[in-house]
Amino acid sequence: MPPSRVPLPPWSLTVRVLHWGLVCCCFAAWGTAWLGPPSALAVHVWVGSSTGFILLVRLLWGLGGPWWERFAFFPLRKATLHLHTRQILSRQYPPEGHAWPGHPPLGAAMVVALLVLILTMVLSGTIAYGGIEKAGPLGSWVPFSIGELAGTLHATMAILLLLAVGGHLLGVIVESRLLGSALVRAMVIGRRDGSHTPPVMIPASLPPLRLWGGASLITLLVGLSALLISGHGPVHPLPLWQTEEEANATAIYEQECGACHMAYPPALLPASSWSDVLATLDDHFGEDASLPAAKVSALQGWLPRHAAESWDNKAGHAFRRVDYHNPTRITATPFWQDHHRQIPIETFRQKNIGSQGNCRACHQDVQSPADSGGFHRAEIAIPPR
Amino acid sequence: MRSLLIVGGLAAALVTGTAAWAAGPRDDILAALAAQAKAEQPAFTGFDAARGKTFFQSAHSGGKPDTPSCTTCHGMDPRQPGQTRAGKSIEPMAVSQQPTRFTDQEKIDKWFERNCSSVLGRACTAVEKGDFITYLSQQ
Ligand code: HEC
Ligand code: HEC
Ligand code: HEC
Repeated sequence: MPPSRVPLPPWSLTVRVLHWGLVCCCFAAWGTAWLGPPSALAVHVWVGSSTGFILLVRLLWGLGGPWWERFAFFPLRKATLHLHTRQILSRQYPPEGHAWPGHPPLGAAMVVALLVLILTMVLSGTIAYGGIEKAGPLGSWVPFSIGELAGTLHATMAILLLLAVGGHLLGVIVESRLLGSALVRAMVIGRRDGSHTPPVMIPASLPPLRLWGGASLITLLVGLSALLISGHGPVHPLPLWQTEEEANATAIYEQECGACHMAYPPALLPASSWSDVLATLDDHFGEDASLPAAKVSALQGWLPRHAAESWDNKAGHAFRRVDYHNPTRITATPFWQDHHRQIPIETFRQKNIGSQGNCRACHQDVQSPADSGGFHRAEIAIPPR
Repeated sequence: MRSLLIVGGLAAALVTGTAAWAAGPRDDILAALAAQAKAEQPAFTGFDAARGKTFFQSAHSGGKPDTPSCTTCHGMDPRQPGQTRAGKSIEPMAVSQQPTRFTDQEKIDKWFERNCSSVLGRACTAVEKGDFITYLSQQ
């Protein structure tokens, strides 16, 4: 005698909270990345980290939650997937509804795809943040080039994820129609219409189900609050001018090269350009900026030594390439031109900015020559006029 | 306690008072410039604030094209802050606004050398320098 049908089990509160949490995170992440100002990176990173914790909890839940929400009971066999596809293509389920207590086969496949995609987003984002911004948990570990690669992957996957979410929505609509029941409502309130035939061997919910849920929730809360209190600044202050000679040269540089404009961090030009600047101080961008020979020679040792090539960070990589005709102008480098093209020229003339070369007016984390490691995206803010 | 305050106040008044009264370094610098001027031009009789003002405000030729005048950076009104060509603000040149002006020989030499070269295309004479400092000391 076939086992009799029973009502579909409800979605647990955990799964529902995690589901809508992920929805919010995804849209917040796309919004901050594609529509927000550069400073929205701070929010973006916060959202991304929250996503990571939600995934972690979903993973725990998928191992120990109620059986119909566990990964092990996702109906992902080839035959089941075929059956489900056929039912959808012929637009009909058996009159008693479908027979899967949790996600139906194609839905389950999509859930797995979405979780894997989002996990990849979180990982690539963390690597990119570490390598490019030198911040986050991997800030001191990831080389810039790896960070850049991860960044490209991150941006590509973001589009893929958007498509996958579109597919998921489509699936939900089709399934709702075929079943004649509101799946979205079920994901909100938990209760589901319909019935199914329970499997012969129902695994008992893990006895300490509450404990498991509790542990998951605590993980989430601890993770989120750790995120809230942690900042996003570079994890290690660079550089350390340690010797007396270095400290001396830094002081000379700050005073002499900071008299007419901000004292530029040495990472903003390659060594050959700095040598050019020092060799032509009597005709310095249309001015005489000459210095006593002793000071020039102190700078000749120091400045090229800390030039762009010696930094494995954003500025160091960006400013290695100079403009061929204007090798001593930071603001003529292809990178600088690329990134400041949209800013109108009047903005740079604003009283509280002054010129294109006054980086520190808009880059809050670049205030002194020691800030070669700056230019964090979250620290960019054009001051109001 | 009260007497301590009074003594402290007196001491403070004494210190600031002498600093303002002596204005030592600037006088020394002007005296040295006067001696130099005398050597350069035997007819020299003394520095003149009006001549200094004209020198400060007029447009010169012979220097670099972007810097025709001292006022290019220091502004027409020496009591107001100026601005470098790179957009950085320069403290007012008038001694009334910035009492430490023209008190550091090394700094003065450095900037006269640079700025005269940029504006005039030559070094400034001792008379020009003395007139300039005299004018701004009275502003
Ligand atoms: C007497 C004033 C003065 C001093 C002193 C001075 N500079 Fe400059 N510097 C300028 C001016 C003016 C510009 C051009 C600004 C502009 O066009 O916006 C400039 C531009 C630059 C630029 C190019 C900035 C850009 O817009 O890309 C660099 C690099 C630079 N200076 C380095 C130095 C160094 C190194 C020293 C110290 C040895 C120094 N400067 C000292 C006046 C000065
Ligand atoms: C008027 C404000 C302003 C000034 C002045 C300015 N920047 Fe920027 N900078 C910006 C803005 C805004 C962005 C972000 C552009 C974007 O990608 O949307 C930016 C982007 C950058 C970036 C890339 C950051 C990233 O991660 O995308 C670097 C590096 C940078 N600027 C360096 C400089 C340097 C060096 C100077 C001085 C020579 C300078 N900037 C002067 C506003 C300014
Ligand atoms: C290209 C811009 C520029 C021009 C033009 C210019 N100056 Fe200056 N000058 C400066 C800057 C910048 C300083 C440093 C200000 C400071 O330290 O506060 C300075 C300082 C000085 C000082 C030293 C002041 C002190 O505190 O001891 C003297 C003297 C001086 N300038 C004279 C002149 C004279 C004379 C001219 C015209 C022939 C002139 N300057 C034109 C930019 C300029």
